Amino acid sequence: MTRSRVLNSTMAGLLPLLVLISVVGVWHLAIAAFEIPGFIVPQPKDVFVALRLLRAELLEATARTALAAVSGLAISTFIGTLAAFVFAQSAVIRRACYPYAILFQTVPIIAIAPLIILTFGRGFHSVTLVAAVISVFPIVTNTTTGLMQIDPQLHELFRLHNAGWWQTLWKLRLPSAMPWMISGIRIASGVAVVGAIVGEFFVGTSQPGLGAWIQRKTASVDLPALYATIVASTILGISVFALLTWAGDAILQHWFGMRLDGTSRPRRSARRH
Amino acid sequence: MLDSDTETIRHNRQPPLQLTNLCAGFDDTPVLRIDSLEIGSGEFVSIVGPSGCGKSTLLRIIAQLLEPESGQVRIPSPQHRACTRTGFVFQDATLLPWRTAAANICLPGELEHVPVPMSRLQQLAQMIGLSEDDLQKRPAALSGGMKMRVSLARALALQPDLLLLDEPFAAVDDLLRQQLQADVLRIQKDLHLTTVMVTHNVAEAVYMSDRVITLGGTPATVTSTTSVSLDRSDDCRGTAEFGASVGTILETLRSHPIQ
Repeated sequence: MTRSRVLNSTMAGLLPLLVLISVVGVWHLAIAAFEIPGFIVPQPKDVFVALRLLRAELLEATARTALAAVSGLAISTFIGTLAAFVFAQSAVIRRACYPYAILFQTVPIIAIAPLIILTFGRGFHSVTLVAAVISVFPIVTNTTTGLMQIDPQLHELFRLHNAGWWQTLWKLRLPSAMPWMISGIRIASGVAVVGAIVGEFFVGTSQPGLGAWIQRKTASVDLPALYATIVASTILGISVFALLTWAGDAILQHWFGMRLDGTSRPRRSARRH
Repeated sequence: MLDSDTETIRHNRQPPLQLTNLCAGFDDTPVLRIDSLEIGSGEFVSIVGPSGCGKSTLLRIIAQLLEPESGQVRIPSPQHRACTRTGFVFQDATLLPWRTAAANICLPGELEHVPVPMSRLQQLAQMIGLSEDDLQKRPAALSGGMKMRVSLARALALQPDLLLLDEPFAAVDDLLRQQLQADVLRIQKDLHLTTVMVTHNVAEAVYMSDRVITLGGTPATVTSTTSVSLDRSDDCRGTAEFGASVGTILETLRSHPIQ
């Protein structure tokens, strides 16, 4: 690795940390300068204390929310990919059903979450369903686009060699759609975390995840604990997104020799002895 | 050379490819009309003409990728197998990015359930100028010229009876273009392969072909047929005969614009 590349990767890690430190610094100074009382905005140090004191409970709640989000994402990936395959087969089906797929994106989750909970009851399954409903749209649209956007010359090549429907799907359409599908799942991952938290918010104490914590701490006006829960939610969202970006890059690097951003990583050369 | 003798003997006795009263168009507008055209076995024919005159359409009709509105395309059946195999080289390399060069070359074999043996792969690599290392690389790691070589190897993988080239050198630089032209010409002569190439470049057509056919007018028809007999050396491009052939074809193209 060259010196400039090491410098670049170090800077890429340091810069967001620098922004975080600056924001916390401004937060601390603003409270002192404007004499904002603790029951409106807590001090950063109070939030850190709450994070330390509640770490075991918060970790447990985060794990519950993560499980619901990942389960919801798995469901939406399965259903979304299946729907995309159906959409890609026929323009008539696409025209007939696509407006209903858009519905999943446009209907506010805050309105649909209570409906799901009333229909399916309070519990983990309902939270998972809310996460699945909110995260299915990016997977449907991205995978459909990927399955449809095939180089016409490649189609001609397959036709020239008498490729059947299954061969075209397995050897051309599916691999071509993979970067689109991975990108859709990556977008959906962040949304699934939001869906799980909103779901838990409505389910309440029967599912004591991060959503229930937010609801409980808001009711008791325990602001440091509320802020600590928001920090935990943010870390969860970033972690799920980062994990899926890493997994997506690893898959694309393995299959395509390139990453999600379109760049290619050179192969590690053998060490000279 | 490269066990091509058997392939040469096979192709020598092929009847010609014939197009008769061919008519093609889009949205009820006739684009192309070919009364009669014959392409002999082992002949290299180039089709030149202005953009949009239907050159690529003609090539796709010969490849049976497009149906003509009327007329006949008679592609001779080879004596050694049930149906004609066609190799097609597109303007872009059109390689599958998730496959290595070797796997891309073997793709036609997979699709037609005719496995390409390792010996054939190595023979193709040697013929086209690809190293063992290049064969294991994915397209993202190959240069533009190497990608075109892989594309050409893929077209030749199943020992085609007919090779169709759709502006294959349009996207490469001049130096590489001349190298690829010489390589394709050498392979075509070695294999005695019936070849039809569509190109914008008249000099390229004259350098590579036994016959250059110009298309022009609306709907496009064959406006001239020029037989070329050159020694095909690197220096032939500077000869008066070469220049005269290019000049004549350009003059024909200028006098038959499309509307």
